Amino acid sequence: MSIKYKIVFLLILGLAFVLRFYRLNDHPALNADEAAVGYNAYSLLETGKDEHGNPWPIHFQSFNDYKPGLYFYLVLPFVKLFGLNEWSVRIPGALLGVGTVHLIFLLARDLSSRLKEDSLLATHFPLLSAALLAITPWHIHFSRGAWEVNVATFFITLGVWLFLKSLYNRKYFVLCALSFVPSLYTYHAARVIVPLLGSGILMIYSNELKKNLKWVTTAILICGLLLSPLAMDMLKPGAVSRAAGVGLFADVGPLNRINEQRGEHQDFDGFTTKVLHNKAVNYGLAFLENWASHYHGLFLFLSGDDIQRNKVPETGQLYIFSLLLLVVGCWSIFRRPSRSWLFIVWWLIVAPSAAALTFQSPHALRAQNMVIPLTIISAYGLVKLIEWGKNSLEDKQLLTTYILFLTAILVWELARYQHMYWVHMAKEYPFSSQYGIKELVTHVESKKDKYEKIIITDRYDQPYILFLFYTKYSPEIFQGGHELTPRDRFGFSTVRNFDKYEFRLINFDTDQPENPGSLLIGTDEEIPDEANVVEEIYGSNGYKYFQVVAN
Amino acid sequence: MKTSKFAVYCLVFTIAIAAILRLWRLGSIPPHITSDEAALGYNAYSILKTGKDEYGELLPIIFKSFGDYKPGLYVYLAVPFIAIFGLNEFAVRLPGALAGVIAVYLIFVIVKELLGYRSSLNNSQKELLPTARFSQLAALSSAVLLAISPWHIHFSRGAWEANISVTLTLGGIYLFLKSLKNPRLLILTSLLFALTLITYQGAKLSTLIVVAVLLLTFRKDFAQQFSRRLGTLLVSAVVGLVVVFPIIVGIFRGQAGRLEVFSVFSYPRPTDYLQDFLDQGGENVGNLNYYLFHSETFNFKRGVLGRWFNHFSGRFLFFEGDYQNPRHSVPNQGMLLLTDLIFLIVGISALVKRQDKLAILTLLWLVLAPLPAALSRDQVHAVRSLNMVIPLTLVSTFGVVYLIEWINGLARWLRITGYGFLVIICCLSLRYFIDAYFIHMPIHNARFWQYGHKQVVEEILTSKDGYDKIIFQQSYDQPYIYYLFFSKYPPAEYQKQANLIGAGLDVGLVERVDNIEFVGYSWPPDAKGRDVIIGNPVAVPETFSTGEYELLSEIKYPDSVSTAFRILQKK
Repeated sequence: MSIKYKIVFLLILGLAFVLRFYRLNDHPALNADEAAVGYNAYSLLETGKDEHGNPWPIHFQSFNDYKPGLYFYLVLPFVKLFGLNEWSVRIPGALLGVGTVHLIFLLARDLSSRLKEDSLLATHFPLLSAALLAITPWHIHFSRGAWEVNVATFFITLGVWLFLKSLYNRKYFVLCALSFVPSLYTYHAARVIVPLLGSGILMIYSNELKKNLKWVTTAILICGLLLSPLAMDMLKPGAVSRAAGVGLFADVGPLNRINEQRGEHQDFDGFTTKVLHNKAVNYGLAFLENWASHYHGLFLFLSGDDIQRNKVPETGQLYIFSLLLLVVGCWSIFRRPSRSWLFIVWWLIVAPSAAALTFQSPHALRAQNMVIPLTIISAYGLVKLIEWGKNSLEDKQLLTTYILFLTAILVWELARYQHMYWVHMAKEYPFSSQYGIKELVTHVESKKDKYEKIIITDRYDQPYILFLFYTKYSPEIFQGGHELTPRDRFGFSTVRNFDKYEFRLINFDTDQPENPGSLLIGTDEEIPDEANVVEEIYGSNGYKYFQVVAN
Repeated sequence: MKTSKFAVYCLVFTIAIAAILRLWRLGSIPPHITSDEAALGYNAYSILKTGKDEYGELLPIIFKSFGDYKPGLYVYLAVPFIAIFGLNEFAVRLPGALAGVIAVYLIFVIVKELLGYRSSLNNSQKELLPTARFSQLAALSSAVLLAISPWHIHFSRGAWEANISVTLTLGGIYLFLKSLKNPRLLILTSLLFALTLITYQGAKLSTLIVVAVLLLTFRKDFAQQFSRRLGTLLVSAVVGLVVVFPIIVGIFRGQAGRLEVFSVFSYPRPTDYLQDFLDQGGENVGNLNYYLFHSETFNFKRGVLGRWFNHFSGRFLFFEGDYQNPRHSVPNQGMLLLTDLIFLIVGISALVKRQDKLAILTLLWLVLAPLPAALSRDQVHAVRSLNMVIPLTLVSTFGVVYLIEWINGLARWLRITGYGFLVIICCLSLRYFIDAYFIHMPIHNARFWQYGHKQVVEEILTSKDGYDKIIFQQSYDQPYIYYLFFSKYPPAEYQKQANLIGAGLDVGLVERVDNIEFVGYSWPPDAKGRDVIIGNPVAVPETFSTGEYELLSEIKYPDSVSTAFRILQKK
């Protein structure tokens, strides 16, 4: 690598770093899941148990959603180092996000050497892959925050790269296995994707693998061994409840449709009727439709996920320009198909499989690992576009203009995304994250001593965990003295009170007379105008979230 | 290149299948005719009986109808069938169904022509011509796939002008290819393309796209052929212009109001919404930020691109069909067969590798075909994008052909398994569609086909003159046309009283035929002693029985549960 090349690469990593770390602590506001990660890590450090008193768990009980645990353990050292704050919770995610940018560079470099095409590909392809991933909305969004999926994507990419390495050096097989394993400990979706990806690898590279049977078997055995604690933990009741709660079968639509369809047949009990309309067919079609929805242009290039927490306004998971890059990329792949590309395409096909098994589709979070094959193909398309320019534009100036033009489009797309991210996201989607709670905690803590009881609305998610987080409430006291509510209809539980705090919906007419000497904190709708409002709490986005009433 | 005898048998068999799928129970499935179908049929009947349309205009090219000014070719195509079979659903739909069958034959000859096409230019002879076996296989596959295409079957079964336009377009393409060898055929080509414009409103853009794609694909051959035959070129142009002349005149006379109603460009973002969004960043219309990130032009482009994507979404193509208008597809079934999901992916990769005229033509057309729909206000629209069915079928064709070639290269037992698998998934997929179309659609979607008007008319026809007045609930289902259609009302009589009211930008309404009044009333209506009241359950709520009315008859939907219409009279 020449010095110039290294500098460009470092610049790209720098860009990735800035886009992921700038004001990482306060934008967007910390959400309840992130606070849970932080507080449980804190609790482990202080007491060796999680918030509910479970010692060193593999899945964290948290809101009874049993979160896969690896991310919590990644946060642990940062909480030790920097204390319990937003930075410590989010740094591992952002750091591994930058790490993935580095990994995609390495992966693309290996791919280009296997493709044995011309020099332009070998030099530009890895850099462009890294650069595109560095600026991709899908990857930036989930790198900024304690999103377990982003870490899982890191480990999957690491595993894939090490696998390509292992085709040259068989010792890497073990390393490859070692890096796929943690992804399964990090995120539910990886438990579906990695086995599918792995079996694809076994099929596509069966000839090479046969030659190294001993090493491959060792690697698989190690995988099995390392995964057995996870498997044991999954057998416990509760651990898979979250997956079942969002799973395809939780949606009764296809089930009800069976009855409707059979009813429209004259022989509603006949053989043909039953063969055409049954659970297997209807849920199979639902799965396929979900799967296909992840390739819908509207999702990828224009509007992104439906869930506000997962996106910025009016922007897709990728840029609009990526459409052109992907088309050119696929075109070039189809023209010169090779096994390496077959493998990348296979990855692209299986990447949304876990998300398609749930009923909210397309789902940017659960299908995030799609971004890696998509970026690689886009980068390949960009290389081909540049190559086309070099071959057909003889005038040097014209070529420069052409390349500047391509760059300008990307810069504009990045600028537009950043504009949406920093200016519009928090205001357009005020409930996408727990804005306003930090401000509320600061306010309440300063006045706490004056009141006997503080009643806070739980309209938005699980406020108790954010209070624990921001007040750094002693885990030892909390573990002993709290009660987790039964699951609500979405499968989540919460804690209703600790210390002086009580979390529940406010009914002002009854709560006001019943609780003299307490603070009542509710939303604008819950608090009537004539109440004795002593403070209004605004979030960092300028939205009014809470009204504090002194009783 | 000659077609082998075996291939001819196969083609005849395919066409027979296509005809069965398009003609079987054509009169009763779809379960009811739409008001457009009734209008086309009645105007044809009117032409047949009097030589004039329902408004008394002599042999018009464009029919005023509901004020939507329908291009008239379909009406004239229906005239002979109505003369033979009488004024009924089957006769009105027959031209569409036959055109659908003809399209299956046309795609066969087009694919054969394209694959056997040898440019007269030297520089494009790099690639070898495919073998006769290959091009027959491809041509047959395309015919089979079009014959069983849900999208094509759906719009062949009914008086859909867009389907006639597709068949004419296919004819035009075939003649265009022929004209590159026999220049005089260009005149006929031009005639066929021009006819699409007097068949279907949307053809103005979709045919323009086809012509542009053809000229782009064959630009060199075309230039070489016609640069020295300017006379032929001129005559073709004149023929085309003469045929479309009434359409051009129509545009200037303001008969293109529908275009404005349906175009996306008539619908900018509401100012409130935009301003709220801009306020978040303290921005304003006219700021640099506005032009950079939020401009209206960019917003329109996003909208058009979004709708274009919708036409390539799995939801539209494979799982739900036209989810905006249930009349355009059948329940729980996409516009294509599920197997096309595989064929399209393989087919795209195969076409990209081929890079011959056929590949360029198909891919270009595929990309541009959804434009007429994407530029209109609906999120998806299976009629305006109907032309897509041809390039999609061509892509699938190459998917099938390449899968077959690939299977042929396998070991014997794998070959049998492969063929078996291919046939089984195709049959299952087709079986599912046939079930959805013939069993579920007539029951599940009956209301979207304006079911019940026929039954109402049959009900009141016998006793109509015994009452002072029939008060029929007015709606944009255009009940008057159903009355005219199903009572076979003498056109000469109707022409005297035809009066369309309120046809400004969009369609208007007719308020009276004889003693039938079409009124938008709210319950209870203003009725006298000897009046009959007809309305759907919204207009005539279930509580009518507590009042002073009694039920004469109740029209049920085919699910025999929900009510389509109630016919009442005063107690």
